Amino acid sequence: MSFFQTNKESMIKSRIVELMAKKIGKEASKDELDELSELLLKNPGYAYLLEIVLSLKGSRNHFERDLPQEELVDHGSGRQIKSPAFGR
Amino acid sequence: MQPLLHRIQFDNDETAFKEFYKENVFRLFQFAFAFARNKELSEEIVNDVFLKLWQHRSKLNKIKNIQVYLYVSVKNTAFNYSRKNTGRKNMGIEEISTDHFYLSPDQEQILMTDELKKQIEQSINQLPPKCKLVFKMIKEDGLSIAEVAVILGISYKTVSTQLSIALKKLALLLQPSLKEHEIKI
Repeated sequence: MSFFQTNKESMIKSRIVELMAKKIGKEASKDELDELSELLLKNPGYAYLLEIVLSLKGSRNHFERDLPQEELVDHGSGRQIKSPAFGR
Repeated sequence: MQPLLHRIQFDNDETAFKEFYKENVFRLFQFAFAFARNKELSEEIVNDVFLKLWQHRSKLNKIKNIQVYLYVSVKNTAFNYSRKNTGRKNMGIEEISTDHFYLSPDQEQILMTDELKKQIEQSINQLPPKCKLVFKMIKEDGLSIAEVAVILGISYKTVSTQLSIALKKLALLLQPSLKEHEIKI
């Protein structure tokens, strides 16, 4: 593959990412959505990436389980808050 | 959301307010936690914001975008707490903590191996804080690029760039799977 082909390919991939960002960020126009659909047809790997990104979701249980407990210190008279950002 | 806000403002409807609170509290709590880094303080910040909202419910229709209003109020309240307790003027957005944000692909929606799922989770967890916050606010909270820019007080371009960085990192990590997928198709 020549340098120019590689360069063109990387420009297309950058454009796909840019359009995907706009789509996810609810800022894509109809023309941009059409352009993205066309590009994804030619680059099915990126269509899979978009599917993955769209399927991402948060987990409340995970959040509650993983709250960083090291921010809380016990001084004997009960827990006190120790947060670098809030100086407490 | 608009009908709820209407009931809160014009009917003083506490049930509507509770419903509105329930719909929004977890996202806002997570956002507050990014600044406050502890549970109790984050709860206090979010409750302060909701209390003020209830107290000023007669002016609810003057708020252009209630989501942006809530996030900005949480951020400002967090900054006020920080200022009071540390004397520092403002916390930089780079100082936020995003370890508690967790995004994972839904295997019911998309077919993938457990190994790939783990790799995606790791890749998202390793994003720089600002990038991870932007990605989470857009992907999980459903905000737009423009809304995130206003909330975080950064430019539209910066939000857009951070989002692209997150996507590029995922694309890079998934390179082998993406190629495999192209071959399969």
